[in-house]
Amino acid sequence: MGKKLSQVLEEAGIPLESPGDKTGGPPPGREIHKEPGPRAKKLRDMYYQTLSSADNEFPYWYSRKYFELENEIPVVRRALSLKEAFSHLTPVIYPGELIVMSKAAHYRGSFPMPWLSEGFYMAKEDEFYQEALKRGSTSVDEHSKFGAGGGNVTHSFGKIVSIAGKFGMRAEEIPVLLHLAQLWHNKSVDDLGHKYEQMVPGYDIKEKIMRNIVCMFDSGYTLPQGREVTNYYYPLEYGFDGLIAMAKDKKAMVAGRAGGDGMAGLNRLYNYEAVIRVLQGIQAWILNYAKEARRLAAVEKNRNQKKEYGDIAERLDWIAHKPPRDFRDAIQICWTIHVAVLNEDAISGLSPGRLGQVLYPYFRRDIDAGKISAEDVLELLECQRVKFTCLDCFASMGVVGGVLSGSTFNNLSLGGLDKEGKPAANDLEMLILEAGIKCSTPQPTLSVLYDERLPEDFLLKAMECIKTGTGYPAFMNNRVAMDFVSDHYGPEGMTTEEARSWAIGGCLETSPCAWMPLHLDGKTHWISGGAGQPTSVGVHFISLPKILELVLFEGVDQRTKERIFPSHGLALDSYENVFAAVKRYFAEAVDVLNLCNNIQHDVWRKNNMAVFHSLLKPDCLEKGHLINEMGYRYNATFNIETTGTINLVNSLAALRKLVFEDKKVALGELTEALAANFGFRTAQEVDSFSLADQEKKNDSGTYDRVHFLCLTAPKYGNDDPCADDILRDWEDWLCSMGANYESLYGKPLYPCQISVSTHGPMGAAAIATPDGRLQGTTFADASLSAYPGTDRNGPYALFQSATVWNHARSQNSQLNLKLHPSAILGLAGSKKLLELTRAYMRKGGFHIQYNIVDSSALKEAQRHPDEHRDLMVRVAGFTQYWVEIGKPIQDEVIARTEYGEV
Amino acid sequence: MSDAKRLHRDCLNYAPLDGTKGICHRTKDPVPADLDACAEFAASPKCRSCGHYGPDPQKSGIGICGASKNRFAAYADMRAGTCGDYQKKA
Repeated sequence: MGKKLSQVLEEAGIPLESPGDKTGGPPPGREIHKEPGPRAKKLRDMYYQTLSSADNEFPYWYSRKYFELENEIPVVRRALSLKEAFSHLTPVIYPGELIVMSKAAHYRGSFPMPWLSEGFYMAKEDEFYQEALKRGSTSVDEHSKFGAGGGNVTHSFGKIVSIAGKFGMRAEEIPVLLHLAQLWHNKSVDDLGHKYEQMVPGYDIKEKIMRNIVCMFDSGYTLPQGREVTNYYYPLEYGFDGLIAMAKDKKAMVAGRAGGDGMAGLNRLYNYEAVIRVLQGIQAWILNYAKEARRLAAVEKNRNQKKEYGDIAERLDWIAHKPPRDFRDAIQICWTIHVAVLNEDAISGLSPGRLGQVLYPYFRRDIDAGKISAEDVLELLECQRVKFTCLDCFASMGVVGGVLSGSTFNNLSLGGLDKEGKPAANDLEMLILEAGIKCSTPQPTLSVLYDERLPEDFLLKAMECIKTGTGYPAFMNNRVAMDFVSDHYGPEGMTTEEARSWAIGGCLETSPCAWMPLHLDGKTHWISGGAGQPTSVGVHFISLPKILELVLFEGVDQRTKERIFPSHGLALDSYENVFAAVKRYFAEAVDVLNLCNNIQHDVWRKNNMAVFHSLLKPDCLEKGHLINEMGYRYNATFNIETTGTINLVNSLAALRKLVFEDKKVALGELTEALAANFGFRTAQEVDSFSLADQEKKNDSGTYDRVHFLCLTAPKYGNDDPCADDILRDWEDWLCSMGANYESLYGKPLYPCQISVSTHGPMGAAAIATPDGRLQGTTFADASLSAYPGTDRNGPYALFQSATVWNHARSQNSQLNLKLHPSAILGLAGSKKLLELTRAYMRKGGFHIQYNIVDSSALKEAQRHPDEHRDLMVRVAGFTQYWVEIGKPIQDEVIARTEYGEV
Repeated sequence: MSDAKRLHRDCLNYAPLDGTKGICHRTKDPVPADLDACAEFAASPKCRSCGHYGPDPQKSGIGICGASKNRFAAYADMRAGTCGDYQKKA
């Protein structure tokens, strides 16, 4: 066996361990550790014992109705199918639940939507799967890994069949799953989109881009909505009966009238009809749960449980028709709305937004009236956390595993400013933080919209929560976000006042929201709610190191040897030409991907438009147009996502320094070393995806000199202009180039710079890079995290590097930091952590988040996963159970630079 | 046949956690999906016990719902508690 890279470097006097990785001794316990109340603990323990499960109830009833309704108006056909599906979902209530209703009939239940895509969950020998593989729809599945522990069903067993590497389905359901898939063959968004995207000039390049994992996934048929903030306002204000009445009135007003719009004016009639039908389906779904609660109450022997079932039945009967009367009604109806949206479409990253501010008027009134206690509210919030964590998103392995690591990104925003510009944090948000501390679960993850004016006790409570090691809350910069939404959505009418209502959608997608007037007891409360279309739709994700690989090898992928782009035609005899070629290939990729994605999303909006989610968002009900007809207030949400920014920057820095400035290495010598993986085995052979663990093929030192030079070339994260200037140049260009492309809604694109989990599978598909990174190893996480072990001058130097460009020009940027727990002990440690966070925000950084963990504890958990079912880590924008994430990402989190001091 | 076996997963008292187990509403304890239920078993409506359900001779593992407008497929194990057309077989 060849030497490990860590050995080789140690012998050469180049340490690879983190600057803070010197604590030694056994892993310390977590300073902050609390337990949930007994009710939430029992429900969470049930979650720990439960497998991700899928069934066919929803797709069965949806498909059955859909194929009955040939020639019906598409939006009405869609609505009637949704109504049929909602009306037939089997209600299941678990003992001890205070908040009820689920996606499907299992505790972690979900279901396929074959009308979006049907190929990926077929057997690998099936022709549908083979077709999907050829066009690239499932290529990334091969490079995606789920954690084998927790609730993931990675292999079939007994009567359970593993679907898409994660979900367990009863064997009895497989024949109907395949039957439904066959019904949707050539009718799904995936298939129809594929039919028409082939008409785009250069489509063959798009297919090669997807097949070779230069880009990760198509959004139109995988997760067409999400990464956005939903909106609970309308049902809170009007109730479902009120909304139906409103839609009926509107329908009468617009029937047969163009209203000055000869193209889509008459559609308003069908849209309102669809709204009514879907709302009736939602009501039937709620009432089925009410009926089940009454049945359970009738047979229940335990007096307390009997009363709780009765209360649930009464509450559901009420909220099926009317606006909520109190906090308990309000938290239940918000949950019901949330699940309903998730059942309407395949969605990850449906964020509740500023839920603590939305619910605050009910909370304040009930607390003041003595109708509910803070302890009661805390118990409800803990139960709510378990419900959110039970949500699963059904999609392909590449999407759910490779991109999402199984997370569903229900990001709850805290703090920020109110409509008048005053700090918006409140007592209920303090309890939300406390629930996050006591009942630590991945969902909902929490984000603080940081503003200098937020109260100190609120911010210190957030620090206490971070110190639990759960990875939440993340901090996002209110000023930067307001600048971004004001600039980007200004042409659609965004004002400074409305910009204050923004919140985080998905993991950290800055999302446009609106202030809505909630009336309660004669008072008007302005609450924030989502007002924009989905984000992180469009071009997702482009692997920047792979683009550089293609530049250096004249358009040929070195893993598959397939030509992807024609030669760029630039002589690579200067750094400037290399940089120009990177931009050229990147732009070519964006162009063809954008055109194809526009077609996919257009197919989606024609037959699979959101009806329920549309009616929730301003200004669909007022306009009579749904999402597909730009009924939303803000529609410029399509973006371009990238992965591997820092590996690109470090690689360009190495090229400039070694090849063009110092001329220590000839370009041909470097590319030969890259192709030979610097003499190392592949990461897949080694079965580790972190750099330090990689092993040499043999003791030959053919590429050692070049590799050492690459590893010691300037690196981002050290306040070194040699690397940081390249980052600034890249960002300045990237933040401008999106405007050259147009979404299907006729709006400009913009960059979105988060990695989620894509740095794992995309790293797996990329050869070695000029920064010394080896083949198959993960890229640096996020967009502004340093590559593991390369930031050697402390966090403030990292902050300086990260803020050389204007973060408000991008939807986001992402910086993750790993701190040893001993660095921030006690109240003094909390204050230090807050000051560190403030320092980054004051420099103009948009996002920072912390893993407070000892790396040795993670290594121990990797060795003994069964003993660490409840361990959570922050990946890149989300928190997930350690045992449910794949080994490449586990290796990467372990390898991250660990700071022992701040 | 589940009707004869009276499995937990076919019982009205069974709240499924996943495909292998659920919670019994009577005892509040986890129970395996595929083991025999107790004497308090109460049959949950499923297509297999519905008069409208019949096998599809063309397809394995799939039946036909006679109550559907276009003789749409159905499957024996599907829950039918929310189906307005459900008619318990005599």
